[in-house]
Amino acid sequence: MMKIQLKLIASYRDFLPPENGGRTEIEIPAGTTAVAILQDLGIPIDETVILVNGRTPDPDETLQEGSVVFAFQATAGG
Amino acid sequence: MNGWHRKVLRVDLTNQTHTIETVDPQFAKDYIGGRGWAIKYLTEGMDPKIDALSPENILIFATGPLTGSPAPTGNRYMVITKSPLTGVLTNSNAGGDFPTWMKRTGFDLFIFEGRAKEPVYLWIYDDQVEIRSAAHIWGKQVPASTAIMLAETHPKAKVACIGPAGERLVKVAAIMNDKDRAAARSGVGAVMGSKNLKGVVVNGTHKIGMADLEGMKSLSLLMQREVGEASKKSNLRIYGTPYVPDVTNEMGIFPTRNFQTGRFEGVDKINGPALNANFLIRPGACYRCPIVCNRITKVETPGYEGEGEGPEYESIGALGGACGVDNLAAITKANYLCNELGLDTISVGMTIACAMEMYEEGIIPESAIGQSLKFGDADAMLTFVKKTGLREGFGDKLAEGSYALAESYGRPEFSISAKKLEFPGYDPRGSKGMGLLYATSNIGASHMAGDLAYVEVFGTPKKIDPLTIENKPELIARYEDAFALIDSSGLCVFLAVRYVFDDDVMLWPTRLTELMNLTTGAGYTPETLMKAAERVYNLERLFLVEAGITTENDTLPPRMLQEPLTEGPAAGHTVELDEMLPLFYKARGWDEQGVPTQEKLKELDLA
Repeated sequence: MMKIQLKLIASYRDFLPPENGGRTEIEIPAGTTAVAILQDLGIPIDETVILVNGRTPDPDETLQEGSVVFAFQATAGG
Repeated sequence: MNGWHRKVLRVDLTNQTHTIETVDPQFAKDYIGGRGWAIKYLTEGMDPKIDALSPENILIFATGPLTGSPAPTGNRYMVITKSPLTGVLTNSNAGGDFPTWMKRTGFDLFIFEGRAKEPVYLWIYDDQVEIRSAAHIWGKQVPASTAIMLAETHPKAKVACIGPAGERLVKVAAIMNDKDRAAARSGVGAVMGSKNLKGVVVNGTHKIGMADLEGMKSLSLLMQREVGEASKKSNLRIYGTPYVPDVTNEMGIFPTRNFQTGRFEGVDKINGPALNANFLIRPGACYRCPIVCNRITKVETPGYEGEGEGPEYESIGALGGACGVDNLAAITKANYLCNELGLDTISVGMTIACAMEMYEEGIIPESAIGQSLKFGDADAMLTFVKKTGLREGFGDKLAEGSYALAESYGRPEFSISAKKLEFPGYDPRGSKGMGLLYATSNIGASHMAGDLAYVEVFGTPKKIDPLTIENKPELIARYEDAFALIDSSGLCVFLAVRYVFDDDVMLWPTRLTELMNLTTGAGYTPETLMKAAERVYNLERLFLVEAGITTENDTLPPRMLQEPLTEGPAAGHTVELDEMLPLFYKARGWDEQGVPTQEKLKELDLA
């Protein structure tokens, strides 16, 4: 098992309890992808921008100890 | 033909006369409308080399065929002129109510020429054009000016005007409409001020004809429902554009302390959740917009009290991160001041950030400023927003923009600008396509000129890697054309990129073509529409070439080219402009000097 950080921002904050403010630390087995974690939370992957450590991950890239998974709804910007 | 009125109002402010011109149907189609028509009038009406603040400059307000149509977000207009800040072209976009009401006067474009001897405002009600004295309004801020002009004309009319900044020819002055909406960039407010034109008041009874009214109503309703449903839980409805600092900060491209870094430790204090928790009254919308991204806010924090609209992401980036300021009350108050004085929040914030760095480096002495000016000093930031708008003290130097400021101390490299227009809130070292856009855009460093952040940052319609340069030259050429098309049509980019282009990175205007044909009946295909947009873009480029721009001006500050980011996911990166620029020229059909070739001009019917 390993620990990773999860950051869900803007409208996706609601996928975690309100007191979390969109952030949490979770334990996952080795070989887990960011997509798998987000799918487990019910996040619609097709409409989602996912960053791992601030960068766009390869689809089958597995997470490492301390990875930061960041996700938000794809939409227009500023 | 429909959609367009095919009528242009030309006002000669020097002689206090006006004429009404009819537009040729073929020209109307070939140049789309709005920004597209305007560049043709600008090119034919003035020498690109003239002083932007002289009476010879031409100021154009332009609506597109979809402005005032049933299409959702068909509520935009553009201000086109030569910029006093950059010395090149500008086209600055705004929404709200004013553009739709402008279209109801029965004119597509207003062209303002010359200079009034005394301050005036225009009252345009259908074909009735009155040039009235503005002597009693001159000097007043935007809200008061707007209220007076409405009281003197019609309570249901709409107003675009300048504030004290535009009157004082501040080169980062905006033209404000409906009080809080801004055609902000490149100092368009100073051009209006140079013409002694305080405001333009519009109302009218002209309907905008639709080639296929039932078809247009049906498609517009479908889109209104589709976008409305999707927007209910969207980031833009819940947080407005202030949802963005978290994203750009995570990517390491949030403008921080004059772009010295791309990660700001205070971002949690100035993001969307912070705004909602402390100052948001309710979301607001431009006319007929289902997205509802405006922020109606109120600040009660002692020392920063005020109310109005904003701040947007860009304002938070410039007045906040770029100045090292994590005080959201102060940022919001600074935003109100910009709206009241009539200032571009981006250029003002970035110019103060430039001054802060030069102060900390010991290049600008405290004696010149009259006080200390350190990063993170919220009250100093606020003080100099106001002083810039009023040209008071050191604000008189800030009012010239960051490039002129830095150059006056012999250190232009501290100005984070392209073609002297201050960067918006995406550090291009971590968003390479944006770097190429800033360097090549016809108006300088504006995200609105071909916003590749949609795909490099926001995943709309698809996400691409922001750190590679692969395909970026071709993408930027396409996005510059696509955004010229959106600007010419009269739609808002927030809706357009996602809902009227195909779901593909290479934007293709299938649904926009349908909207344009239902409106105008002009028989566009996606190919002819993109070709028209490319025509517009190339004609704009010719204006720049005539103004003296060469490939040497298609560049970025040394910091972007030589100083790698030191932290975050883009650490170690600069912008590989040398590699991208020749490929971009090739994609555009321009020569190695960045000049459109005769072959390209013939292909576009420009030669």
